[in-house]
Amino acid sequence: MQAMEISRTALDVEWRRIEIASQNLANINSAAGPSGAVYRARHLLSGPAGDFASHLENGSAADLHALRGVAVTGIVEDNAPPRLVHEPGNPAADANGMVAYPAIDHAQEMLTLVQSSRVYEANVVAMNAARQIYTKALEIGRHS
Amino acid sequence: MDNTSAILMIKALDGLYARSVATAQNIANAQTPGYRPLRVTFEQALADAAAKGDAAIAAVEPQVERAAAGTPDAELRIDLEMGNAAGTAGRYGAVVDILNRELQMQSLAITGSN
Repeated sequence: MQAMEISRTALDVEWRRIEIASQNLANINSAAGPSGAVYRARHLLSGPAGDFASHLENGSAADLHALRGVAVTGIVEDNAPPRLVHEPGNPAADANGMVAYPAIDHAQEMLTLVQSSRVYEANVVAMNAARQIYTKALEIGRHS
Repeated sequence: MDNTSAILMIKALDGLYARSVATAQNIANAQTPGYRPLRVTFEQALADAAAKGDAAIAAVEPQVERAAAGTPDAELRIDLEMGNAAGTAGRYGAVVDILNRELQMQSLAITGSN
């Protein structure tokens, strides 16, 4: 069932990526609260699980049984400066009447959502292809 | 059924299964920057070994290699990988069907026409 487990790891990673993009989009209008901290856009980093060394080697033979799919390697915060908007009436405004909003790239987050959903679908199809193989293997020697 | 064709088919199933695992790994890493896809080869080795006899066929193992950097193949194309996944599953099914037919004939030879 290794092929299906590999596809499963990718479903997990892409799901997390979609969650983080949604979280970023949800906070696009979150002004800095009383503590002054502005929400920072987060990005999910992912890479092959397990066989990191063989991933770097050029044209090298790989051990099939060592393949573990993909894994989240970290979540980084975007350190872009906040977007300042002049809103003197806003309770979150500073002495100059400016309110800090998080610097979130709307188009980038939408792209991430679309890309990750497509990759998610691709992994569902790959999982089904693997399932077809396992089901077919059960038919070996069966009288039809 | 001669033994050779059964060993050949089982080796083909092994190779196709290995390819399905490699394809799953490639598709799982569709969003990994700089990822080079894995390729599984066994068909030529199997064809060469078939001419040499059963022992040579039994020694064939699928070769898993990462595409060499700088070649057009080194860039992961998800559409081609989906094609590989579907094609591999289809070929696996075809080999199982042929194996079953041969087993059925063997079973007929043992039991007679009943």
